[in-house]
Amino acid sequence: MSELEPGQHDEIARRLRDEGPAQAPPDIAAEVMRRVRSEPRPARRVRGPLTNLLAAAVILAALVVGIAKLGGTGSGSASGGGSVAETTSSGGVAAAPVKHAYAGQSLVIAGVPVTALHGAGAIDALGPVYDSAKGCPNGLLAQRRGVTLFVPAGSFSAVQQQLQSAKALTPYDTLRVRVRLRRAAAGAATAYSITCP
Amino acid sequence: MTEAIAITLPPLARPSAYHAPVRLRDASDEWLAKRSARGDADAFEQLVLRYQDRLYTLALRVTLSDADARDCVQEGLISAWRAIDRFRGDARFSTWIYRIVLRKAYDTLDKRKRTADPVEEIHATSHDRSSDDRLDLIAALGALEPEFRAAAVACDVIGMSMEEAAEALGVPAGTVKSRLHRARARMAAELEANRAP
Repeated sequence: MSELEPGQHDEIARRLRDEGPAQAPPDIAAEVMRRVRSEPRPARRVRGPLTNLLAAAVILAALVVGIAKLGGTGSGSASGGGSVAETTSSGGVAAAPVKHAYAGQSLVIAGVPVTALHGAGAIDALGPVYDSAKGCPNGLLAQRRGVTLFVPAGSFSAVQQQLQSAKALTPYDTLRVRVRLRRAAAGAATAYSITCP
Repeated sequence: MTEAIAITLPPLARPSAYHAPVRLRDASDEWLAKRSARGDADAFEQLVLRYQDRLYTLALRVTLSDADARDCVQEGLISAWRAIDRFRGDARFSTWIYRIVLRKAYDTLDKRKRTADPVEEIHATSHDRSSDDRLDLIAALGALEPEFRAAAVACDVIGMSMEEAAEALGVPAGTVKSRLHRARARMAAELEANRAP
């Protein structure tokens, strides 16, 4: 049966090509288009390489945060947050690693004048930070990058308010950085410290 | 002294000549698919009109039922509209849409097998021209197992290349070739048996 002559194969193929096609009933297209037009437009998903990269970055960040929180479970944090081991690092010159038990709450204040963080103009509540900031690479704070500040829970609001006041009062052309305030858990060993960018 | 020479330049083409809208009828499948993904129902309608006969033929010859073929085409096209933003240009639109409708046709056959639905008499298909020879050919095609039938329909009736059929059927090209060969041989035998007195 399978030993067909090549001519027979061609003949079946030709007949199928000529006689096989059927015509769609005339109402099919109209019915399909009636349903298509009654449906909302398909949601367009823009999945360019940049979007994929962003999605990967978000997932990675979420994983890091999740792992950090998991790792802190059982640390005795009163507010239910975790503790996390933060390592000060940057540019190879950094303060010694310090551990902070923090309550998992943070706040970002953008545009904080550098002068509010260290030097003669540093705000009162940040006295000890001045010393830590000196451990950052030379000119680091002047590079308009972010810094992370761990403050005791009791001083969190005061520091926040003072940074915001300094932000409002300092001339516009002052160098500014983004400050992430992290609330240290009660009883944290290190009171104030700065994590260099 | 230099003599001024006047050269008549041809008139500039109107700017619109460079930006004339692409006529839907002349547009490529892939362009229409892109437009459809942005919610352009007119572009999708052009694809429907362009493919409805081939899709109906594919579904009819595989399911052997006019009613089922209608459903497969309609549902397949609606599914395509909903998923068109996932259509990527690395495959041909034709292969993509054939595959969707073929899947619907296979689902119909599976459902029929489970529920033992009777298949309507293929000869009664209203959209087939009636001619004894043609009906014999269609009956011989209908006597094949679905996978052999699908290979014969894809390659011989619709005219897909071996690679395109392989992609639409979801099997390797070698498998399509072997199924097609056996399908033609069986059909030739069937037609020969009918011809015998």
